[in-house]
Amino acid sequence: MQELLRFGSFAAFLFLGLRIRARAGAERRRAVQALLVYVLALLAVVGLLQWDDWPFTSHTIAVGRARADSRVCQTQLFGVDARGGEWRLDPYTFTPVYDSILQYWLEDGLPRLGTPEREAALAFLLARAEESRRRRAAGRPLGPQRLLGPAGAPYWLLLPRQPGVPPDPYAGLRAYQSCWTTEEALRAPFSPARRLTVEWPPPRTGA
Amino acid sequence: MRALWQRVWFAPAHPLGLSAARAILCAQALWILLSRPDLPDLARWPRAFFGRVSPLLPLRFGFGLPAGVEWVLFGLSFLALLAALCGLRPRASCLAAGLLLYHFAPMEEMVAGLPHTAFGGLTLPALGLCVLAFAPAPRWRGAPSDDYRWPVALIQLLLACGYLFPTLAKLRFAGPLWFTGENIHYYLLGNFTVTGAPLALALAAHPLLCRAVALGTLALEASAPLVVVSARFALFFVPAALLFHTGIVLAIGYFFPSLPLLLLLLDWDGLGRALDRPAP
Repeated sequence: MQELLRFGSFAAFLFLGLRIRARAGAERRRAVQALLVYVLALLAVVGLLQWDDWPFTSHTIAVGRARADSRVCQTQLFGVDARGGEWRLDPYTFTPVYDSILQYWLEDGLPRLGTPEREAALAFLLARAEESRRRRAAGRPLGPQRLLGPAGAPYWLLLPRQPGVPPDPYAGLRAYQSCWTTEEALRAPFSPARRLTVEWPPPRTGA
Repeated sequence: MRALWQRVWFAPAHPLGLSAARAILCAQALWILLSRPDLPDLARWPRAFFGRVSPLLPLRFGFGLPAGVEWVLFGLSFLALLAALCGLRPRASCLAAGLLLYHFAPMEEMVAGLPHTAFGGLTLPALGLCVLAFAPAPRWRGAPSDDYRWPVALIQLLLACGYLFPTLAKLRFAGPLWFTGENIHYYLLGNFTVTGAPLALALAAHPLLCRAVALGTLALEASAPLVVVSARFALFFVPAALLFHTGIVLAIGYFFPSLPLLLLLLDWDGLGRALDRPAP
């Protein structure tokens, strides 16, 4: 229902705007005023109530209060080579889906899937990781640098790029979740406990 | 109040403002799309990736078309943006480009339900190009007209909301204590553990600087709507915003892809009039 309302708000914007084109003189001025009043009212609702109605957006970011005990959790993805070595994946490995976006799905979407869907999705991610590994191993860039080189616009969250990829194909994927507080992270040496949340292909159980 | 309304939206303006807005929005959209050249490829991702979101969300943006169709639409969006940039059938090309950007902009975040689509750099181009499609096409060396003012002012207001609304959100969710040196201190440290931003630790070590950042953020964001009212204020706002975003990249590790859109705030009306003035 909310999605329909949101679509309706954009459709109304288009309707009021296109109406201007069909009018002249004083009627035209009235049509412009109607569009302006509509957009201002919509912006007031979006801004004051923080009800995101993209493209009339609430721009909600960095709104919480940070403290020493603020908890940060992150899911980190690794490619696994044939010898079992783990390679932290570059945030643009699954381009066009950025690392931090895929994290939402790994944490919330993946656990809801049935076994066949889960296996298909993880096999797909492994294939994409391998495609990106081959590309980088051949010296070709990923993500925003693909066509524009250093002039490409990065994703807004600047996660550290990962410089290395293995020369041999990935045999598997692993995801670990780690959580820490700011206080803990600044204590040296810092090495947060990590929990394996995804492993593909699943480890073989002994006979 | 009526006089202010009249001045903000309908004071006669030079056509250069409208032409400049169109060029800036198109160039921005082309930059972002060229930086996301594999966007239509998302149509090939298994359906399992989209189970998390409401089924109506993809429908709202026309997502779910076959990959071949997405690639054709992606190509058309470049053609529409280039046509608009060159002023070819500007109203039709702006409308087509605006609608195609509405379709493509949320795509990269579809698997997560659009948590941060507003920060992708295509929000204002999508809306702004639609606004330009509603306005008359500017005539080169045309006389100043109120028809050249309201579309530019509306686009500038939408840009200003990108600054004002985060402050409203901070006040709503964290209260006025968000704007304290202590909060900035821990934001810097907390984000450093994720992004490793190069100046985070150095800035966090200076309480006075943290306090200045907190108050500077409030002043910049809350005053942003004044750019629509005063071209002179906008001239101060643009360099301050540039400094603000550069600081955020270096100290927090958040990039602002809409940075080039600050060019929309320059005094194009004044520049157009100055160019029209006969040389003495």
